[in-house]
Amino acid sequence: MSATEVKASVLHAAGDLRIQVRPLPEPSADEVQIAVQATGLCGSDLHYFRHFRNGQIQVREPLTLGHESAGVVVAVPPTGSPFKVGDRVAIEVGLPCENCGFCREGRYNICRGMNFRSSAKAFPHAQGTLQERINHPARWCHKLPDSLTLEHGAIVEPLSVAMHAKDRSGIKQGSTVLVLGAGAVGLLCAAVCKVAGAKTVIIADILEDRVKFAVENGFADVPFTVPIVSPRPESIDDKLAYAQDVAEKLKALKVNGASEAIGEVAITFECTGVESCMQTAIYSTQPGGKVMIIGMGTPIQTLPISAASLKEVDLVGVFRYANTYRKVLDLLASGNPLLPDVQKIVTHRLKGLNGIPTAFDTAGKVKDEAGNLVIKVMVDMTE
Amino acid sequence: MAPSAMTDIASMQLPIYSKHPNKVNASVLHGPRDLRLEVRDIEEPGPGELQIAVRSTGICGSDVSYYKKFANGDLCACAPLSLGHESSGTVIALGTQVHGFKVGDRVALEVGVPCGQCGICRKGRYNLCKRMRFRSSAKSVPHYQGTLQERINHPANWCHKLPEHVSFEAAALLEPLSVAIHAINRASPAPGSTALVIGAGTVGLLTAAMARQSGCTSVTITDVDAGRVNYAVKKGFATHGFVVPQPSHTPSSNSSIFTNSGSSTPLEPGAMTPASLYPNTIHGQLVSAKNLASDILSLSKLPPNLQGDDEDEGVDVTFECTGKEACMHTSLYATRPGGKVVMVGMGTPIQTLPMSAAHLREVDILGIFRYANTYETGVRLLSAQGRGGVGFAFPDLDDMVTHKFKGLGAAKQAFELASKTADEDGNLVLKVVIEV
Repeated sequence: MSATEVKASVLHAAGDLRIQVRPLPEPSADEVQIAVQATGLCGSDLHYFRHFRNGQIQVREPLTLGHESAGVVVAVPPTGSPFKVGDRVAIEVGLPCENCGFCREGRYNICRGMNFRSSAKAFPHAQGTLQERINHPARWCHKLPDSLTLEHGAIVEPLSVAMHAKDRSGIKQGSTVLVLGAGAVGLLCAAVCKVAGAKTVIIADILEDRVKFAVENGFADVPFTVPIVSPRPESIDDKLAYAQDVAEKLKALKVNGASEAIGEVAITFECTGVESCMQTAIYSTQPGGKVMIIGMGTPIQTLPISAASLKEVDLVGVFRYANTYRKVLDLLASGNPLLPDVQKIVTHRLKGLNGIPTAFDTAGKVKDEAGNLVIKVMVDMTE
Repeated sequence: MAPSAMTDIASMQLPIYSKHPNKVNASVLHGPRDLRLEVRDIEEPGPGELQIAVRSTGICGSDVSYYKKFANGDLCACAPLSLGHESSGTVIALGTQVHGFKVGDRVALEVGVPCGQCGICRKGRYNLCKRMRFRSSAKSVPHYQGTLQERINHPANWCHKLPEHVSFEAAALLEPLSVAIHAINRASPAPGSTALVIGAGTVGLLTAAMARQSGCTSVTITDVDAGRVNYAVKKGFATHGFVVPQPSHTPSSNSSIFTNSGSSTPLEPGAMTPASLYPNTIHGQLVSAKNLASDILSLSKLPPNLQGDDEDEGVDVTFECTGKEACMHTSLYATRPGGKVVMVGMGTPIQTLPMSAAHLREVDILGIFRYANTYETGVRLLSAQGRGGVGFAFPDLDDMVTHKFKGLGAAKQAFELASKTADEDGNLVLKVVIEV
């Protein structure tokens, strides 16, 4: 049988997205062919779209974006497959080497030979999921429970980041938690902390509407709008004074009806990548606590490092995820009352490959033209 | 044998009433470099207390900082303060409600007294107790006086009995050893791990030894001082040593490399990197740090036929014992993905760091503040010394005491020397001890 042709969204330069036709061979013995149905857009996709680079990673050849996806199996190899045509799957797009020390010790997310779809790190680039169909190793596809939608399947990816962060944090039942940043990842981090039994989750953002959304929809307990100062602090002393002031305000927060302030938290999830938030995170966390570094931002930061080390507040990096897809799917299907309705983070849906440019435009905004919050933009490829 | 400096204030008459049970001589700091020998009242030991005749006190960096500046980092002393916190002595009196001690017992002093009742104390991390009172620190007010006094009353619960063969000097070193033990506890390197220790002062040396003790098969120690690196490798604190070129030196001065594996590989002379063209920008500094990390890692490489593809990814854990920003940079680049950088001791409070090197490779940054639940381990380690048998032999702590001063009156000279890395004759200054 000959290869089919599929249409794909391909980035050729900053802002230059084109729909192209590509050949797609039959799935090999260990693959399945998937019609991608739902793809969420994330900050890294946006960065590539706007700048043709992500941090220090430069795009070196045309690249299809998208990595938060779910779809339907449309072809399996004739030799056999754990899947059958029609199965709905969440796609884990990071393919590690499965042979190195990191893979063998279970930390495949930091495998040096990782091929992550839509990332320009490896070359040739592993093409992303904003295509009609892809062939993907069956062992990196995860069957969706019947009760979950394809959008849920796409949400598994950012929810995996949150789950991995929660696992690395060692959060205990009854902990107090601070989440900095109420975008999609911050909301999902807050949600997994609630599920893990956190007593109180504070969520903070510069945008009041986002923190209200978080609390109104059950992602977090206590909202905090971070005050912006104008003009912005310039010297390091002014910056740290600002960060400390924000921390003091956070520590003074009270849960509704409580008489005691929350004080320093056990764990802070830093989801913005903004330097001043890292500084605030250090000041807000209790001795012996942890700051989880999730937000990818400024690569070089000036931090009050002894404020962390003298309190034994550990700075713990979180890079993607490993061994999370199955348990995230189980969690989503479990009906756990502590878990909010995560599908609510999908605020905008665009249809088909033709909707992709608008999807990127919308994803780059904090609010749409009607003034509604933009949290997660989903590209719907269903017929 | 370490040289002993006799105080030339021997000619000064010590007050006769220093033998009076309720008066003691004490070394008291009143301001920068204003150290005075004074007489203080001392009460009978209270319930739960021991009265200890302090016999040996080591001087550490924080003591030297108080001596020079009457401050340590952001912490300023606001009243006269006796320094000293690395001490051992003899029990000379018991308060009521004391069990397990008798007059004459030789003890090491754990000088940090936490509240014992708060959440963090109950969880076992009492070093982080917000109501901690630590002798010689200006943190609590009134200041909890340090151990450079003839006698002190100290809670019996915070005194640790010593085996016969452990000297007072070695026992005084249980305090910095505790910092090293705590660092290893927090890092918990798996047996067979590789470690890098940056800084070969007392804390770096003891941390390196503890890394070996806990099963690290290769421990590389670095310092700008060749004497210290040489000492570290020769005495077995580390398996490999690397002398870091001073920042002011030109790149053409070679780093010297010491290993006790018998072979040494000289660096390429005159290696110029682009960083040397703009060393003062953060980017220049980071490039230098990356190059240095690479040079350090190449030391402990396996032989070519045993190397996998994973070589040069970094060590499992780096213990940063200098507190300097540039050394943090090197630490982050020298540690493998998924590894840990442990910040031991007080350092530069605000640092500009390549955080993405930590974040995107899941290199965790752990801080260390003093110690908790380490003294008994230290005593066991010292007790085990000399038993022989196979396995790593912990280096002799007495040997680290390079300079001894006799009498509290000699404290000033002791402090002056402790702030240097070499004495007038060019000999290594590692640990300076005041014996009473």
